[in-house]
Amino acid sequence: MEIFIQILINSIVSGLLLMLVAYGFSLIFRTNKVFHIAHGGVYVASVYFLIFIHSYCQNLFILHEILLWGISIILTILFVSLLALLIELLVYRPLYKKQASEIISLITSLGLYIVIVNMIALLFGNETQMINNEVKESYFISDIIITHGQQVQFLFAIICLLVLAVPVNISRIGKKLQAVADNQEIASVIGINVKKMRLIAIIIGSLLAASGALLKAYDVGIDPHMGMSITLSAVVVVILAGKNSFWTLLITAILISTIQNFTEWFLSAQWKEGITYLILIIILLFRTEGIMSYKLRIENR
Amino acid sequence: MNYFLHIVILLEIYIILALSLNMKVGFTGLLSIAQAIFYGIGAYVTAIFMVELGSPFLLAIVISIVVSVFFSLFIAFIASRLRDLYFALATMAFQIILYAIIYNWTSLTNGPYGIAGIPQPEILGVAFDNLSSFALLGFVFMVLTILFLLWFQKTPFSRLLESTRDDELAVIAMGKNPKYYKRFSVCISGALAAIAGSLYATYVTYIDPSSFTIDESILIMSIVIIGGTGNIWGPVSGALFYILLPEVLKFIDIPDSIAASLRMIIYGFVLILIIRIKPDGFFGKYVFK
Repeated sequence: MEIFIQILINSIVSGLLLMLVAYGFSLIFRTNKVFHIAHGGVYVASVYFLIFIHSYCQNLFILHEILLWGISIILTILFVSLLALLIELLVYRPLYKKQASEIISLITSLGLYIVIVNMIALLFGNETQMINNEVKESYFISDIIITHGQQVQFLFAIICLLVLAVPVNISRIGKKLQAVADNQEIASVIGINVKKMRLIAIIIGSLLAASGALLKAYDVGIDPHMGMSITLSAVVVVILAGKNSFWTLLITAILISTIQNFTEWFLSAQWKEGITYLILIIILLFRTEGIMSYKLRIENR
Repeated sequence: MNYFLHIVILLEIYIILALSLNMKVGFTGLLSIAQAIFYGIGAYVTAIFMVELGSPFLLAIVISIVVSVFFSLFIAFIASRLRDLYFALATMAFQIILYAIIYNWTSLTNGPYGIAGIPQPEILGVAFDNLSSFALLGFVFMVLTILFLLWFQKTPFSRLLESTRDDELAVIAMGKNPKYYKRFSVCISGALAAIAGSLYATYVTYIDPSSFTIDESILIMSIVIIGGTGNIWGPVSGALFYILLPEVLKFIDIPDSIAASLRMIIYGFVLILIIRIKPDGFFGKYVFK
C-alpha cells in the first residue's frame, strides 16, 4: 500500500513538471499554429545557460550564494525570452506570412531542434550536467519518502504555474490569445494585434518550459538530448487533453506521469515511452479530438 | 581507398533508404517519421536469421522484406484514418513503440547489447567478404532499386498514387479506392527499407538498437525533404548531400569532436532554409503544402 502512495506522490510532482512543459507547448501550438518540437531545444538550452552564467558570475564577483542564484535566474529568464523572440521572428514568422501548413511547421521545427541541441552539444559536450550536487535531508511520513528535490519541485512548480499559466488563463491577454488561437483572421479584424499575441504566446510558453527544465535539472541533472522525450510526453498530454483548459491539461499531465511511473515500477524504465506512445496512437486512431473534448467534424481531424 | 569504399557503401545504403521513404512522402504524400524502424526490422530479421538459423543471405533478405511489409500494414492502417500532422505524429509514436519492443525483447534481439558476428553475405557461392566486393553488391541493389522505380514511375499505376497525393476526393470520385493505393505505397516503401537494413546488418556485422532511434527517422525524413520528393533524383541528391557533407567539412581543419555536431548544425540550417526558400528540395518535383 505504501508503495502505491509513494508512486502517486512521485507522479504528482513529476506531473506538475510535465504540466509546465505541456501548458507551454499547448499555448504555442494553439496560438502560433506551430508544432513546436524545438520546445525541447529551449527546454535544454535554459538549463545549460543557467549553469554557464552561474559559473561565469561566480568567477567574476564574490557574492552571497542566494544573490548569485537570483542574478543567474533573472539572466536566464531574459535569455529564454530572447531565444523565444528570435525563434518567432526568424523562423516562425516567415511561415506565418506564407500561411504554411502545420506539417511544414513540424519539419521546420524539427530542423530548429537539431540546430539547438547540436549547438549545445558543441559548446558544452554530451555529458550529464548537475545543478545541485549536495544530498539534502528527505522528509518522512511513516514509510513514504519525499526527497528535498521533490519538495523544491512541488513548491516552485506551483509558484510558476500561478505566476505564468494562471494569468494567461484569466486575464484580458488570455482572452486575446484564445481569440487568436480560434481564428487569426477574425481576431485581427476585431483589432487584436496577432503578431504581438504570437510573440507573447511563444515567450510565455518558452518560460514555462524553462521553469520545468530548471526544476527537473535541480533533481536529476540534464544532458542535451533530454528535450525530445519530455516534449513528446507533453505532446501526448496536449493531444490527450484535447482542449486548452488549465484543469484538463493538469489532470491529463498527472495521469500520464502516473502511468509512466507505474510502468517504470512494474515493468522497466525502458517501457515507459513505449506505453505512453501506445496511448497516443490509440487516442489518435480512435478519438482524435482527445478524451476530454467534444467531437470534431471530419474535415478538421 | 578503404575509407573511400566505406563512404560508397554508406552512400548506397542511404540512397536505397531515401528512395524507400520517397515512396511514402513523394508518391503518396504521407510524411512518415518511422522509416528507421523498417530499416531496423530489415537489419534485425536478417541478423537473427543469419546468426541463429544460419540461413543464406538471399533467403534472409526475402524474409526481412516479408516481415517489414507486415509491419507496414500498421502504417497503412494509420494512413487510412489520419492525415498530415496527425499521421506524422502517429508514425512517430509507432517508431517509438517498436523501438521499445526491439530494445526490451532481449530473448530475441539481445536488447541493448545488440547482435554481433553477423556473417558476410554469400550469393550462389560468391562471398562478398571484402569492401570492394561489398560495394559492388550494394551498387547492384541500388541500381536495381533505381531501375525498379524508373519503370514504376512510367506505369499508369504510379499516376494513381500521385493523384491520391494531390486530391484524394477526386480519386474517390473516379471510383477508385485511395486506401488501396496508400497501402500499396507504404508496403513497397517498407520492403525497400528492409533491403537497406539487410545490407547494413551484413556490412557492419554488428547491430544494436541505437542505430534505429527516432533521431535516425528524423534524419531520413530530412534527407528526403532536403533532396526533394516525387521523383528519383531528389532523394538521391539528398543522400549524396548528407553523406558527402562531413567529407567536405574535412577540408576545413576542425577537430573530430566538433565536426559531428557542426555537421548536424549545418544540416538543420539547410533543412530550415530549404523549406522556406525552395520547398521542393534540390531536384524534387512535389512541393509539400
